[in-house]
Amino acid sequence: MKRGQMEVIGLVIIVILISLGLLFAARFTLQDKSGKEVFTRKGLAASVVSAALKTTMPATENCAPGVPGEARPKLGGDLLEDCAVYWDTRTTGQSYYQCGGKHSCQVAEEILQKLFAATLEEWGKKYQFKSELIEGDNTRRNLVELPRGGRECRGATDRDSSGLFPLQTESGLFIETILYVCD
Amino acid sequence: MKHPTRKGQAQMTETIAIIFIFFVLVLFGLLFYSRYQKVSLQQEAEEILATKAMEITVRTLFLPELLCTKGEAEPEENCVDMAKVEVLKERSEEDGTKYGGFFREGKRKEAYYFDLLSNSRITLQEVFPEAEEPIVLYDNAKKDWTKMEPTYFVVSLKDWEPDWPEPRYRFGYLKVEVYS
Repeated sequence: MKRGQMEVIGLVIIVILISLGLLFAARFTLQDKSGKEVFTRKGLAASVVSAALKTTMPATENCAPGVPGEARPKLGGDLLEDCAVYWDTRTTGQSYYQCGGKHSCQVAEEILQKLFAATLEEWGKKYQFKSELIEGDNTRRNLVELPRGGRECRGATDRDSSGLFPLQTESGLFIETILYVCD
Repeated sequence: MKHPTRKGQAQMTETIAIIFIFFVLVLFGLLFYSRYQKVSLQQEAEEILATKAMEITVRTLFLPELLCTKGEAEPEENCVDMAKVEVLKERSEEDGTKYGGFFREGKRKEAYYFDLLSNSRITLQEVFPEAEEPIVLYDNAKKDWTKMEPTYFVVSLKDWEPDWPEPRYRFGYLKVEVYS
């Protein structure tokens, strides 16, 4: 065999070795996301929102002081709706529900913060929660946003959402709630 | 007899050096490959455990022994009926069994729940309005476990109070720890 041919064979071997190395590297980097991670994020986001919106306030909070009997409003259907209806009076603290003497927007935010702190934050999950009031002309108002002004999940690649949880209030208002969980 | 020339000696040394480098590269390749195999086997084992954790979590969420039901209507999703949990808790306290209230009715039931929930520990934790002590629903953790995979799932805890027409929903979570 001529020297030139030997060199060509050497080059081919080097190219094959480099290609194998690249293949291995690609396999390492392009591995699929773990199914469990996606399941956990999606399931968590949806279950947190659905359970949070259903949660009822305890009687001890005395949520409707002027009304005879006890009032146990639900966080989603009652408090968020009340927050939307009495949005303009949130600075004066006037709303139908007055759990612990506070405006329903403040109560909803505090309770949600408490729920997220005991679950998602405790488990080291980043999240972004938003409950928006959508008005007739499609303008949106942030009723509750947690963490405040949060950009926790913006741009995150491993991000899943609870899906939209729409609430139609009795007064014809429309509230949209969503939670993003990301790693 | 022909003596090797200087040029021939140099070529021989070059060939030996190339072969040496080649074998060093092959050795590196083999080392890398065996390491990769070991890591991928570990990953596979973790994946299997994670899948098992997912399955057990879903099974737990849909156990009729826990799920919120409304007569013949569709059951409520992500909801645990606290009246049912109370019964399980009482049974467990009466028996003092390590399995929680599920296994009261002897070996046949034990096998039935082992098929469903395997070597795991399932606890229910209330968060709001009060952070109560966690309730152990099922405890069949392996003694000599090497890996444990926890999965959390948030649920509503539904219960009824006397003199109140509507159910009350509290906020809590299920913690499913799967052992291998």
